[in-house]
Amino acid sequence: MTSLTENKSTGLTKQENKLIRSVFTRSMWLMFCTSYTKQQGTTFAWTMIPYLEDIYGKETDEFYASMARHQNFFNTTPGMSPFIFALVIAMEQERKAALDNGKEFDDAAIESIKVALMGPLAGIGDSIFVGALRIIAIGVAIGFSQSGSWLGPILFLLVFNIPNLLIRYFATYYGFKVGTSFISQALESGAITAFTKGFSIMGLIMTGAMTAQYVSFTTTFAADFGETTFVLQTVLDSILPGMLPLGITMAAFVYLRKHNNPVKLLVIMFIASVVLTLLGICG
Amino acid sequence: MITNALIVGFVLALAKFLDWYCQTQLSRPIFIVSILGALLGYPTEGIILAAQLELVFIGNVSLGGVMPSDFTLGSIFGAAFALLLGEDLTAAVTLALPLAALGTLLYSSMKVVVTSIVATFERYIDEKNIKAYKNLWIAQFIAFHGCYFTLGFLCIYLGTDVVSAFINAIPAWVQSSMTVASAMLPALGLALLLKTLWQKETCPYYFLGFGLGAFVFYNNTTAATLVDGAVELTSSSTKVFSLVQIAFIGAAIAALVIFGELRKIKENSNKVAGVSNDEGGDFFND
Repeated sequence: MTSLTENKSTGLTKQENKLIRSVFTRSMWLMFCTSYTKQQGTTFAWTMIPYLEDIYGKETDEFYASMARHQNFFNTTPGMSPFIFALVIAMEQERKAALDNGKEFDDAAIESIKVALMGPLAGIGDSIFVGALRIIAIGVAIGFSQSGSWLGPILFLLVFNIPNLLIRYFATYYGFKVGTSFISQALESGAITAFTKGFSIMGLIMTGAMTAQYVSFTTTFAADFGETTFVLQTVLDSILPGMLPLGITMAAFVYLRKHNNPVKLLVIMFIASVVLTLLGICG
Repeated sequence: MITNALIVGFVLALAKFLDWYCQTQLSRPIFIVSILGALLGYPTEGIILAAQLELVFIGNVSLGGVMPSDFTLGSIFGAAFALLLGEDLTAAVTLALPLAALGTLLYSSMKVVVTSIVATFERYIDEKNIKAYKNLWIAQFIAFHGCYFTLGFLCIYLGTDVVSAFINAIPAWVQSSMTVASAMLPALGLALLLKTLWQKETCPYYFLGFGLGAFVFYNNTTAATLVDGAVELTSSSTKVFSLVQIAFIGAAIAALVIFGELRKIKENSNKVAGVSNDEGGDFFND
């Protein structure tokens, strides 16, 4: 325990660096075998096995008691989970040290940190990974992919996964280094909300840009009036370029907000496509 | 055929692995279908098909263990049949969408199985049997991927003739409506995405992004021909900003917002601190 506090100012020991690398790689398995009742709970406990064995000793009663504690419901963005793992392992170490010194340690503290963090970290994690990073990676790659270039899938791999790995590594590192104080401060001050907002704005901008560039729905309706031909798409373009893609996306969005039934909307879109094709408006 | 069936089975199991391991997003159509195409011997076609399927499924993400549609399974089968039968995007999309829905059903039933053995895990811990706990975890891991491998293998091995007959039976008007649908479907994907991102106070940024993507274009001269002694230019309008460039602008705007929010937070906390300081001052003055 004392060595742990000392290291906070002087950096980390070799052993702790090894632990960080281990948590970094082992936490990558978190999403496997999720269940309806506990989500990542079972695998959370599975991930903790070597660390708890390290702290409490193999096959000890204390080890099984802590395993039982860690089997509870757990769910967060996997990319942010190393932070929680590092934090929880540090707290288990503290717990062991406290108990060894004959002091009390509230087991509920560990559980409540997990519960308190998984929600906010999932919020910011989803906005970073799914909202911003994934969309940027697709945006960067898809142009190359559409022209059949290998750069597409390779760029997708790199643009998403370099930040992904960096975030995971630093999440582990800071989980050990800053401990519990930092995160409660960040939660209290609202810094997390600021970043979540920023990332979701980035996601919104990219979604808008992709609506413009990748919903390629156009009408082929044309009427011949002898002298002049009336081409509907040209008229629409002169009013507002990309009017139909924006309109369809907005309509789909409004529908989903109200009814939340993507499958039904899919069927509606198919029927609409057939009708529009048969009427000669599209296709 | 056996080789192809093995390849599809392997890619399907790989996709399921990559979907969860480290959340690499490499199970998304844009990547996994490219790999599938390369392994089946259609590298270029695979990459192009991958891009198209990605656009169809762009809004589908699995969040919090909830999978709205198994786009991975759908795209892999759709692309595999399209490539193997020499069909195009229309066929891939026609097959991918219903298969994605079926895939969700399969996934849900697998998750029911996983959920049913959670109690066994708990029992092993109660019984202090960590070895059985570890073995069960590995067993469910292997069984899960084994199921998908077998599914991929059997569907391609047994189903190709059926699918081929099915595609040939599709009338022309359905095919052209499917082309229209594949132009419309990204709207559904983006709407799903929008649903997770949309907030009243930040929604204008969506329209900003749309404007950057849709309104700024220039006329690109693509050809010139001589008609009756006069030069006639053929031009097409080209978007000025690529998505990469818009991402750049977007990052700058997002940074501005984050800095602004952080400053607001700081000012607020200073205000609170300031008030308490004043009180402290008054206390000492008194």
